[in-house]
Amino acid sequence: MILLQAINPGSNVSLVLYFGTIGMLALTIGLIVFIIFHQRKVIRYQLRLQRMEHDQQKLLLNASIRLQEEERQRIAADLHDDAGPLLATARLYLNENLVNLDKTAQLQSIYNAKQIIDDTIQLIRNISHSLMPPTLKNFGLESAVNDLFQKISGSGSMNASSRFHDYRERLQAENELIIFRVIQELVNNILKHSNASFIHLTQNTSGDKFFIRLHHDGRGITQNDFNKLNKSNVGLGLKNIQSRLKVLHGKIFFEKDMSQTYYKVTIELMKEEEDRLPEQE
Amino acid sequence: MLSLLSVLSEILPIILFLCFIKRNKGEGLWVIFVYCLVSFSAESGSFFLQPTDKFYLFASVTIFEYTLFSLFLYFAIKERKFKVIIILGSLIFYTMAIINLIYKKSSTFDSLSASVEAILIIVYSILYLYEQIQDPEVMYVYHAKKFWIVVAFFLYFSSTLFLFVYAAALTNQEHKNYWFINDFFNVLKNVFFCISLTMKKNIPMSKNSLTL
Repeated sequence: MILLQAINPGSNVSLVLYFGTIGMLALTIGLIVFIIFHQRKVIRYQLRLQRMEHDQQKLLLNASIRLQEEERQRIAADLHDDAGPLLATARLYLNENLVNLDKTAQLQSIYNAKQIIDDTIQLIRNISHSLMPPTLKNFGLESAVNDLFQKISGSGSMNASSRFHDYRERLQAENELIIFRVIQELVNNILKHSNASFIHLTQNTSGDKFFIRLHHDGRGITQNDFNKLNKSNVGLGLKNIQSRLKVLHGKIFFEKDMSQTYYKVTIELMKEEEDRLPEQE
Repeated sequence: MLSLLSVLSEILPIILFLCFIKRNKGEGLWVIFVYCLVSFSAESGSFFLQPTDKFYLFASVTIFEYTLFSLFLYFAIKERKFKVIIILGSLIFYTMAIINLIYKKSSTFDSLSASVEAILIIVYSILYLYEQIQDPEVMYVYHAKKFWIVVAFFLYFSSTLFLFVYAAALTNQEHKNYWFINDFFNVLKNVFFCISLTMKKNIPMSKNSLTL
């Protein structure tokens, strides 16, 4: 700058001055215009992202509501189609004409009515257990999952087993329920769609992370398929899984095993200190 | 004619600040009001001064102008690193200005201080604008009053940088020929000040609060 000031009086000052000024002006205006347009571009992009996130949230919410309605309809159908006729039949056996029958016929009617009422009680108990398994509440996630897998194995349709390697301290009740529902949903999907002959569930922890892995030898999906289904209108159950895992800040990975013989689903959760309950004696 | 317009254009931001005083509360624009007041007084007063006295007047106005602008930008910028740059730049400027006052080279214009001031204010303005586009909380940058003030400084100092650099080497005739650049951009600067002062107070709207 000092060099510029100590210039030769003969040099063409005006050219340098004008070109310098015009150059600086052009740079300044260019920079300001660039800043304005760049920011508008960034804002448009962020708005688009927000819109996409909003649409995805809407999709998940709709899926959740639809699933709830389906469950309600199923319960209503079970009660109407099964419990209703049973109780109506029991009523038939216990009408006023009973007093006009002989003792043997009376005893037979009472016995039949009692049988039907027992069946109804069992039916209602099953509906209630499917809504909220008491094993989960009383004994924890490990017992509830073992119970579920034993029932599947017991049905004879496939070989189902589970193993919890490190579940000495139970998680919070709400979190256990969410994880159980996710496992239930995954197992239901495997039963419905995969044609698998075995399912094996393992649980372990690594540092502050909690893992649940589900292996099966049927037709499965990969992470790409999961992402595509999540963005579409189908895949209600998968959307439900995603919503539930979002509550726990968890992740889910779908992949084919390295040996290419079976599919693996991994659920990863953070194991917070406050989630743990004191060890039960 | 242009030089008269340049002096008179200093009055407009003063009037607008007083008319829209409620709108400009809490935005730090009192700095611009004070600057315009001092600038107008100095420009008007310089007509009645001797050339040697004019030098001291313009040198003081340059220091005062730098102080106000750097203060405005110091409070407008939130990033700590950039604030440190302003402090360091101010140390350099005040050193230069004092040296220039003691060992004056020109009898009418303090070219060295003005050039250093211009470069520093350009740098601070760029830092402010950079911070604005990086800030995720900022919606449209031109909705902010401070943006227009900074654009005013930026445009004025970048356009007059070369003029100030060469000012000491110009003859009286050349000075008269080229000073219209300063007058023109001074008017433009005051226009941008007016835009900022008349703008409605922007309600900070972050990108996160957008509803679809």
